Amino acid sequence: MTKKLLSFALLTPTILALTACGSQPASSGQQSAPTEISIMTEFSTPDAPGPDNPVLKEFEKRTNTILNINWISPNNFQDKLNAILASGQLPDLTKSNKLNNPQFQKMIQQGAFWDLTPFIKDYPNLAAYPQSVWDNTKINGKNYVIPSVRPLDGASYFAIRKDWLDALHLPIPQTMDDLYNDLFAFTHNPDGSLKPDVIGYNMRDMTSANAVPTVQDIYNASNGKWKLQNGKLIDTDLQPATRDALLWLNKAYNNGLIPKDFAVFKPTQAEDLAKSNKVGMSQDTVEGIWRSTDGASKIDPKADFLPLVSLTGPNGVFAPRTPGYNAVYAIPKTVPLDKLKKILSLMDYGASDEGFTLACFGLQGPDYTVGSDGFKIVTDQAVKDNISQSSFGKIFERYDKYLWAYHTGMPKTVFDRNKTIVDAREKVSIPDPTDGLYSDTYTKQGSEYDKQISDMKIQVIMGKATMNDWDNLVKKLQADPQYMKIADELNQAYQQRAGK
Amino acid sequence: MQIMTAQKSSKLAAASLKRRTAQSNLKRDKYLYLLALPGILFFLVFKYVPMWGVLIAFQDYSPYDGLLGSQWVGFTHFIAFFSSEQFPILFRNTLMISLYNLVFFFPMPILLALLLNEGRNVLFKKVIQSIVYLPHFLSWVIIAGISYLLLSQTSGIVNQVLVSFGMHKIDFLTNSHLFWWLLTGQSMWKDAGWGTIIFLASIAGVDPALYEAAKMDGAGRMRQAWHVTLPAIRSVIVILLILRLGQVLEVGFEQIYLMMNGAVSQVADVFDTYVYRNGIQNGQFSFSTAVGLFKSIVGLLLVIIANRIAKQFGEEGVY
Repeated sequence: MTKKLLSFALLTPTILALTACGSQPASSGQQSAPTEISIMTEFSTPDAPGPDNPVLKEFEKRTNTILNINWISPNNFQDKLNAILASGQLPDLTKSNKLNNPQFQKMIQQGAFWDLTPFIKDYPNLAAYPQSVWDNTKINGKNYVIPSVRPLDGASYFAIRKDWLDALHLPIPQTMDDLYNDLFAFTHNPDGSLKPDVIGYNMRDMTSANAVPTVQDIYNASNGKWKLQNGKLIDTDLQPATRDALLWLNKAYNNGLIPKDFAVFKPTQAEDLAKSNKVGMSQDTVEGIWRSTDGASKIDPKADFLPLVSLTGPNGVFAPRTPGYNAVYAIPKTVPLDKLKKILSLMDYGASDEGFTLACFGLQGPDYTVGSDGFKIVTDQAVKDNISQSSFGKIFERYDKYLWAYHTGMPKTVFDRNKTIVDAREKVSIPDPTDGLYSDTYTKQGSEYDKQISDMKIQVIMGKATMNDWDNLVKKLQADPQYMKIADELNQAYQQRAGK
Repeated sequence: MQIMTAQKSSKLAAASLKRRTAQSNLKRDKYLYLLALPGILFFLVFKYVPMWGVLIAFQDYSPYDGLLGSQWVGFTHFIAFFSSEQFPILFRNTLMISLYNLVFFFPMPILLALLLNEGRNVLFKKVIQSIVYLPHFLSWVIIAGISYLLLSQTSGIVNQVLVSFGMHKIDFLTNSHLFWWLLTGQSMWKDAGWGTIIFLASIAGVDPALYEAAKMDGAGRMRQAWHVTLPAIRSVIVILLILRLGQVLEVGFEQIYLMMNGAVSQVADVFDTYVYRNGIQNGQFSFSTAVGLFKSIVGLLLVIIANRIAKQFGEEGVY
């Protein structure tokens, strides 16, 4: 009874080379005592892998280590991390889900973690991560962290119901006006060719705390709050383009293109609406939107969310680029130099073809088999053992451009289309210029400002506050020396990093 | 000189007598003290020792430097908090939510207890009692979920009913004018029944002779409730009110955190949610400890004042 979970061989050419015995890492040759390494990480498999997990045992055998892994649920990872940081009892490999976690940043500044800059070049698989990822994770010009590397393209962005566009004979939107007209047509189709209670756009991008609306990003052609313009970072929240974006959203809200109570939605609620075939446009990664397509197609077999390559706003073409990493790992100074090297070679092994395959798929035979088409077929045993990209794959990472084009269960046609979308995005996508930059004021006060700004945006969109209120907030922020200091500090940090 | 030595020796004698009696008391009641020991230890270890942690409110605490190594900054965090523009908003919201609770929620269990007390049929009474207790055992997460299901505009049942009657949808969840009512309503639904327990218990202790005497004087049921039952439970009401006043700045974090959204946050943000954001999420341990300490001191002051007032009105008070 093998439940046939198709998994694409990310590294097709190397599959054949990987046999049961594998190549022997250098460490297992010398009969030294295994190094004990404590790791703190997260998992999103149904359960955390146990202490006698076969992949864990195999990693220990191949790298001559004993791994004590503390698996933490992503739901309370942030709180747990802060508690661990506050306790000072840091695991040998400490994960932070955000590089900008204030406490984490502060401790790096205080020298609580190893500077890895001089070591990385000795570990070829880690050194093979894109240079921009290493650059973006620098703090004060040094690499204190190992990034959990991710593709640069395929970030969360609008995805529109291609089948509905076709049904209404509408083209794929290119501008914000096109987009508005398409969403309007979805929700106001007099001939009833679509369902009656359709929601144009589920506002999934606004479901997380203090989110910057994607529409604002498009209007500013900026990935997030800060935009790089003429070598300087400018605050888009203070720009007129953001005002225009809010007007667009307010108009959409008033005309029923947006759910009336989007402000109370959680990401899953917005996604559930998309899955229940009620939404014309959602927002997700190129890979993640497959869940919505899959869900909606159970009701309407033709359902198809097309991830948009880019949209053009008044400031130009926009598609977001990811930072190229998801979380980061740091090694505390309490770890001696010898052990530090051991940990780095463990991570380097995890970033090799062999190690990454072991982490994500387990062992060929008991955990997966390779089909003739290059897809890996995961066995029940692997599912039962929680061997997945969502468990060990959260520790051990390897760079693959198309990682976010594929989702389990996706047909090859969709995967191929996604690859072309990723390739097209690569040409236009814009990174967040402040990624990895540190501002002391932002660390302390930033989220309160963000909340204030975000709350006002929501109220303006819902018509509970007027554009006048927004203008007043902008004026107030411009007159607030503490707020303006954030821009100064970020610019300073940016220049400092650019100078290196 | 001699007098002084005499005084001294008598003092010493008295002290040693005291010590002796204390020792003998300890010896005599050693099993009682032994019984109390786990309780005392619990309070020492889990309540009094961690209390030293409030010292970080006066530091620029960093986990890396620890409690001893962190820099002392005096009242900087308090000043920063009181002068921030958030403070009046947080203070207003916290007070108003508490006030709504005090005015509308606090009398509910008393009323309910009086009504239950009038129930003739014992079985009926017990069944109703159990039913009204039940919501207390639901977590806030579930209650928030139920509220969303009932009140949302996208698919909420209440709004669908309103629409079917030809009325407009009401934005229960995103209307800043309704938010405090929403919270009070939820609290009532959850805890009004549970709150009756203490009142019912004290009503049960009322001397039946009083009712008989009232009946003899021609008092109906309303009169009996007003002149016998209510005065009998007055001291319990006062004690609970005092305790409740001590928590005026403690408005349930969970409930508000779950119900808060961008559209209502200017009326929903309270001290607890602010501390959570700044302390837990932003890692500003010292600052949020200062806020928490301020909250506790206000609570303590309120309890003391309320207790004084209660005593002046001839009630027993809590201590």
